[in-house]
Amino acid sequence: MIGLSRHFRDKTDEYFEFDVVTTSSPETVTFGMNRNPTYMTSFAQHVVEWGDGNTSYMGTSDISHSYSTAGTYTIRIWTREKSLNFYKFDLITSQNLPSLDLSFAKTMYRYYFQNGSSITYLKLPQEILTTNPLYLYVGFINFTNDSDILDFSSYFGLQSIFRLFGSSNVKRIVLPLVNNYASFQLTWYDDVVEAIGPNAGTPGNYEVDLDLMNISTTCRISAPVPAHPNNFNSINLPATAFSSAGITTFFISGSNCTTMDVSNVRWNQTSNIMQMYIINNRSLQNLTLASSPVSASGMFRDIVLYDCRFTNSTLDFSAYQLSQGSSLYVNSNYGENSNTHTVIFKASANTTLSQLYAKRGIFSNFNFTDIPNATDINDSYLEMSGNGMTAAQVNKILYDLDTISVSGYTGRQIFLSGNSAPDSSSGGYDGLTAKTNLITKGFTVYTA
Amino acid sequence: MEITSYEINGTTIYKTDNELYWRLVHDGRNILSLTESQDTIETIHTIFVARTEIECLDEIERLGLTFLEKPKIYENLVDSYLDNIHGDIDDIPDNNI
Repeated sequence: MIGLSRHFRDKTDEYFEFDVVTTSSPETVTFGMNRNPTYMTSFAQHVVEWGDGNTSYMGTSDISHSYSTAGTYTIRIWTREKSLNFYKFDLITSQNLPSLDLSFAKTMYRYYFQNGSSITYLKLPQEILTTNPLYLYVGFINFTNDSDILDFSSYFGLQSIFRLFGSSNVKRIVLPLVNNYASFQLTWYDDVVEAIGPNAGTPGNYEVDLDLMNISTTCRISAPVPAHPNNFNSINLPATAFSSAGITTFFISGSNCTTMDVSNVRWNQTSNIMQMYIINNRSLQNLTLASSPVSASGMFRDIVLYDCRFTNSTLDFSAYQLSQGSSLYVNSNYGENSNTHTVIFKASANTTLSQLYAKRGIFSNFNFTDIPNATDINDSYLEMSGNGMTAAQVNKILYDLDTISVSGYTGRQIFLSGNSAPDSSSGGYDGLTAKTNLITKGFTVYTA
Repeated sequence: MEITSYEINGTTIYKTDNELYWRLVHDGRNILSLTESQDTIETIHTIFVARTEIECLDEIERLGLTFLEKPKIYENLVDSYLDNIHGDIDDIPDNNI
């Protein structure tokens, strides 16, 4: 019933073409194929020419067409943009299309193929002739390519957002050594990919190796389901993974790494809204932070180390300048950071804390006096409850916060419940007086 | 549950005991916190306590209180779980078509 031929041609008449053969009159052919509306600026960008003189525009529902007489028809699908966006790409039942051969689509820059369970083979162009950022999004398609490698090593000169997930049987993804990855984003969802990077080597390591990647602006590697057995368990982040300009956003989530060294991450030298997220890495015990300042004048708006399992006794952020209105999260969900008791802020008069979350662990020691203006901000939210602190430790925190705090701000709150109640003398500090002082300065204070 | 008050230098401070109750702390306009806890809370703001959350919600509605803006961090943390599981790639800019 069906014969398949398909190709793209360059430039103005790139199209995707294949034949269908109908055997009855009339016969309706339905394709499990529809467009992804997110990236289509109008309804008419994917055009389907049915081969009998009729034309349709691909919508968000599966398309179908009724042929009045039996015969062989060449269906042509083309796009008015350098973008292929299929929210669903199954050719159902008898019109099965097992192979997705995009060898000639080399002027495209956005590939979006999702939900194509009948597609088992992906062949991409050997090179991409565009300077636009490359978006590659291939999800929930079960490739069984000839080899276990998806090789993008010849995709030079691109700034890329790169996403691939839900694709079985691909063991290695070779990334190009490009000039500048303005935004490198890799989402790793239930994949069995075992090596990724320019030097993607031996399968079996579940390793992301970003050596020589030259990433700038954003580096985001995300496995959305924490602790999934297929998540990566090793990541290599040498300085050469980042451009000389440095990045402003670093996001690693869901890995199975037990150790992680972020000390060589190159950060932007001037941005004051930098973000570092290391979250939901539920095997991560040992995190290596930088020990010397990572940015000349840049500052971090958010540092979020959440839902990990640190055994570090100290989380030392003395190399990371927190900005005004910054947020610092160092807690896990239910106290799994069983050994971390000390948080060290980089000494700075410029740091104000919108949020501090250090709760449900054994946190007890903070150098608040090194950030003397930390609470000079409305709605400052300092959450240190559930750490089982002694009265002496609670007293010291209240005393230090009282020392650095002034009146004139609203909505500030200090949470110290789940610890011993403050008293007037333990540790040599009068926690009760400090607490009263803080309340009269406008703080709401929660204690045992 | 008893809410007591005392004065320090002309400032009235309200204080809860540590009985398990729902506690609503607000400044007449914004909600500072709404929790069920045994915390001792001391504040210059208003404390409303109740056995049930719904009573606090009724009080919120009665006074027309609003929650402070949700910290963006929470949103990012939630996003991290949901990120792309269902194929949503909304964060990719669409300015190069």
